[in-house]
Amino acid sequence: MNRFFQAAVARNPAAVQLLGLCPLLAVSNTLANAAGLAVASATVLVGSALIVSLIRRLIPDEVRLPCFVLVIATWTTLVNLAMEAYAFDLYQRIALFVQIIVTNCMILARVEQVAAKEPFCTTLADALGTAAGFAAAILVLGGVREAIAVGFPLAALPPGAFMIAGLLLAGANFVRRGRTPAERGRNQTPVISQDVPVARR
Amino acid sequence: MRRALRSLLLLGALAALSGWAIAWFAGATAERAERNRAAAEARILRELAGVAATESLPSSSGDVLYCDDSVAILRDAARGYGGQLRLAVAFAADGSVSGVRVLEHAETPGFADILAPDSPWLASFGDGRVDAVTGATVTSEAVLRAVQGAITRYDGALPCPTVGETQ
Repeated sequence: MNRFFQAAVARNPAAVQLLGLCPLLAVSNTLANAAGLAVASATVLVGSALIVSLIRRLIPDEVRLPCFVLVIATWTTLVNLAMEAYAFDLYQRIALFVQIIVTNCMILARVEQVAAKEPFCTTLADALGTAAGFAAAILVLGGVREAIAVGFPLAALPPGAFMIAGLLLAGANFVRRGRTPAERGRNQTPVISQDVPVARR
Repeated sequence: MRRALRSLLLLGALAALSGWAIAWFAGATAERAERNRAAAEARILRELAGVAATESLPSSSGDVLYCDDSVAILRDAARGYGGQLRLAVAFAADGSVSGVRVLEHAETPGFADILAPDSPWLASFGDGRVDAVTGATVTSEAVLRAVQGAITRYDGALPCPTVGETQ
C-alpha cells in the first residue's frame, strides 16, 4: 500500500518525474479521450510490469532492454486491437497515441527500475500506483481543459495544453514543496532523479 | 558462448510467444473490428445521403457507394502524407459536389483535424471554392486529387443512371 502511494503521489510520473508528457498533452483535450488513454496506458504498464517481474530471473542482463521492449510492444498491440474491436469511436480518435504508448518512457522506466528487480507483489503495487498517478494527472488536465474550453477555446488546442499543464505543474510543486526555499528544502522528496539543482551545482 | 545462446533462446522464445499472442488476439477480434469499420462507413454514407438510420442502404457496386434520385456517392482514394486516404464524395442531382467525407486516413494527428466530420474545410467543397490548408499541404492536395478523380469519373461514366440524366 505504501508502495502504491509512493508511486502515485511522491513519484507521480507526470507531475514529479515529468515522464509520458507527449500523450498527456496530446490526448487531454476531452475527459473521455483522457480516460481512454489512461486505461490503455494502465493496461500496458501493469501487464508489462507483471510479465517482466515473473520472468526477471530468466532474462540475461545484456538482452534485458530488447526483452522489455518486446513485452511492452506486445501489450500495446493487444490493447490497440482490443480498442479497435470494443471501443471503435475512441479508437478512431486516439489510436495513434495508443500505438505510441510503446515508446512511453514512463513504462520502460518502471519496468527497468522496479519490475526487473522486485518480486511480483511489489511490482504490482508500484505499477498500479504509477498507472493511477498518470490517470489522475491526465484526467485532471482533460477535465480542466474541457471545462475551460467552453469559454476559452484555446484550452482545447495544443498551446492551451502546454499553458494549463504548466499552471497545474506549478500548483502541484507549490503544494508539494512549500512556498519558501527553507520549506522547500525540508519537503524535498529524495526520489527525484532529474531535478534542476543537481545540474546547477 | 553459453551466455550468447541463452540470450538468443530467451529472446527468441519471448518473440515467438508475443507473436503468437498477437496473432491469436488479432484473429479473435478481426470480425468485430471489421463490423465496426463497416458500421462507421455506413453512418457516414447515411449522413451524406440524408438517409435515416432505420432505412437500409442499398449494397454498393464498384466505386458507387450509394445512389438515388437526388444524390450519388462515389468513393475515391489518394496518397496522403501518412498513407492511403479514402474519401466518399457526394454529388447532387445537377452533378455538383454536395459533400466530402473521409472514410479512412493515416495523416498526422493535428494536421488531420481538417479531415474531421465537422471540419469547415471539408464543408467548403460544397461551395465550389477550396483553399489549400497551410501546414497541411500534402494532406489537402491529396483530398483535392481524390475529389477531382471522383468528379472525372462521375462525368465520364455516369455511374448512376437516374442521376446522370441531368448531365
